[in-house]
Amino acid sequence: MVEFRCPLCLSRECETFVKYDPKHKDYYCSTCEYTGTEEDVKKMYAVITSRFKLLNKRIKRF
Amino acid sequence: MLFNLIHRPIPTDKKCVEAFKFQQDVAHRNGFRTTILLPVPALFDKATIEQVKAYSQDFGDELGVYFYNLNCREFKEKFNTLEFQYWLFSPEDKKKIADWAYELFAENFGYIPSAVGSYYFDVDSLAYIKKKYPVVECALATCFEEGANVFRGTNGYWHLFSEGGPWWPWIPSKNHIHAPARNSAQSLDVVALPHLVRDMLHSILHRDDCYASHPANLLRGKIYKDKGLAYDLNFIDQYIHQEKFNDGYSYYNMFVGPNWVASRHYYEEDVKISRDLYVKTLDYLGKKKKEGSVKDMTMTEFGRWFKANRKLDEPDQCYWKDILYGSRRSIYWIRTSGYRATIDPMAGSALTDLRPYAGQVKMPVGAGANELWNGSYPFVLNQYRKGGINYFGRTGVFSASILFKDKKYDLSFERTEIESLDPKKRSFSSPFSIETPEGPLKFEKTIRCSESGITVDIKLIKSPAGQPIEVTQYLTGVQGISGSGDYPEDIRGITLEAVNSKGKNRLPINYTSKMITIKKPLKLMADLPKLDLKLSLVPVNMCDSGKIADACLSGPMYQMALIKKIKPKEKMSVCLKIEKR
Repeated sequence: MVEFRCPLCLSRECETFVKYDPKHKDYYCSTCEYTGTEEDVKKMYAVITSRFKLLNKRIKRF
Repeated sequence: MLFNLIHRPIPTDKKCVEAFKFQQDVAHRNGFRTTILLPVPALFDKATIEQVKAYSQDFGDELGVYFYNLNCREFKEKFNTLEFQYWLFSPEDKKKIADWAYELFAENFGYIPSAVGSYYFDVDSLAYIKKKYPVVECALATCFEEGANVFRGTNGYWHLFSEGGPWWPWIPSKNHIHAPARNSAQSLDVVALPHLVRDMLHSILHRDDCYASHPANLLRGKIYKDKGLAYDLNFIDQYIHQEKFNDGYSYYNMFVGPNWVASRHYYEEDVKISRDLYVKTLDYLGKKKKEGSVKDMTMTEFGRWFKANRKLDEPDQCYWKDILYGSRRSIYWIRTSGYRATIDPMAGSALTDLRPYAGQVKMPVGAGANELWNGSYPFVLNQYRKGGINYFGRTGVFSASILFKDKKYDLSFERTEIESLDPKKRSFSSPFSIETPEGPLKFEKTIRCSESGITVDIKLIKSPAGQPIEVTQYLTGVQGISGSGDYPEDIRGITLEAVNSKGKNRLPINYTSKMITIKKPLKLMADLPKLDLKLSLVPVNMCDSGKIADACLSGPMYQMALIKKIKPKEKMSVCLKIEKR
C-alpha cells in the first residue's frame, strides 16, 4: 500500500495522509470528506499541478 | 550570485547516512565546497565525525553546529523533555543546549566553529552564543516568511513563526533577530542567513516552503511534471537576475536535509525523482559556476565577504515575477534598516506589507517569554494575512483612490505594472488607465523608497476635457504578528493625530468609527506605543484636507487620509515616514 496525501486537503495546501479502507478498497481522509481510489487520488493531483501553467516553460527574459 | 551549499548528516538513520554521502558527492563533483552543519546526534557518532573531518581536509568543506534533530537518546537523558525545537526552549535551557553542543564539537574537532545554524534563532540566544564564543561569524538564522501558512498547511505540526524578516543576509540588531542593525552599537556582529531563498511572490501568497531553493519541496508542492524542472532553473535564473537591482549583488543558498533524498518524505513520487532533481539542480548551478555567474563560498567565507562589502544601511531590493502560474503578476520588495516593504502591482502598487524595523521592538520567544512561540516581526500594514480586500473596502494597505465626478475608483482594485525601475534611486512608476463614462482617466503613480520613508506621487496625465480629479492617499493601519488568530489583533492603545497650523487633534483608537477632518494638514500621525513607533503621512506639496478615523469592529483598522484636487500635469505627493517614537 502506498502512502498518499489527501488531494482535497492538498489543493488548499494542507497536508493530511489518507488511510486505506480494505473493506471498500479506497482511501479516506480523517480531516475532510475525501474518499477515493488510488486512480482518483492521482487524477486530483494532476488537477493541482495543472494550476502551474509555466511549469515546464523555460523563461529567457525576466 | 554568491552561493552557500549547506548539508547536514543524520547518523541515526542508515538511509540518511547514504543520502548524505550522495549529496556530498554531487556537490564535490560540481566543484562546490559545502558547509556541513552537525546536529547534536552527529556529535556522538564517531563514523560521522571521521567522515566530515575527511570532507573538510579533502575538499575544504566547513564544519559547524546545527541546533536541530535534538531528539536523540543523549539529549533526552540530559534534558528530560518532550520539547525538541531549539527556539522554543526557555532562555536558560537554550544556553545549556548551546554550551553542550559547543563542548561536544570542541571535544571532537579541537576548535569552536564559526558557522552555526537553526531554523530559527531568537536574538538573545544568538547574542549569548556570540558573547561566549566570539569566533562565531555566520548563522543560518531564520526561515523567511514561514509562519501562519506553513503552520496551517502542516496541520499545526511545524511550530515556526518567522514572518517579517529579511529574505537575504543581514546583520541583526540586539533587539530582534529580524530587525537589521542600524549602526555598530546595535549590531549583533554575526551575519545572519535565511534558511533557503524563496519564491518572492508565492512566499507571501502561499505556504512558502514548497516554493523555495529546495528541489524536494517542489515535489511536495506538486510543482513537478514529466521530469521537468523548468521552474527550478527559472528560479535560479531569476535570483541571478536580482543582481540588476542590487548593484551586482545576489545571494542564494540550498540546504536540503538527507531525509529528503533518502526515502519518500512528504511527496508521493519515487525517491529517485527527488535525487534526480537534486543532481540536476546542482549540475545547473555547477554550470553557472563554470560560466562565472555563480560563486560558491562556505558560510564563514560569505560572512566575511558580507561584512567587508555590504554596509549596514545598504538596502536589498527584489523585483520578482511570477514564473509558475502564468499570472503575469509581479511584486517589489525593499529592505532597509528602517523597514521591510512589499509593493504589489496587483493591488494598484499599494504598499501591502510593512514591517517597521525602526521601532526595534524586542520580543523574546520560547518558554517563559511573553510571545512564547511567535518569533515573527510585527506588521503595521498587511493585506495578505490580516484583512484582505473585502466588500467593506478596508484592508491593511497604503494606497489611493480617485474621485472623478461622483464616482470613486479605489486603486487597490486596479491591476498595474512596475515600469522604469531605478535601483539606485529605489524608485519606479506604475501607469493607470481607468475608463469613465466620459472617457479614460490616465495617471501615473511614482514610488520612491528612502531609508526611513516611502514617498508616493500621483500625477494626472489626462482626463476627459481636462477636468480635475480628487486624489485620496490613505493608510489603513493594522498592527500584529501574523498567525495569532483570524480576526485582526486589538489595536487599542494607538492614538491618531491630525496637525495643521491651527493645532493638533487627537483621536485614541477605541472602535468608535469617529472621524476628524482638518483643512490644509501639515501631518497625520499614528502613535503605536506597543511597537515604539510613529507612522506619519506628510504632504510633500500642500493638500486640501486630511482626515483620521477610528476603527470599528466590522472594519478593525484605523485610517489616515490626505486629500487633494489636481488638474492634468499636476501631482499629489505624500511621504509615509516610519520612525522610532
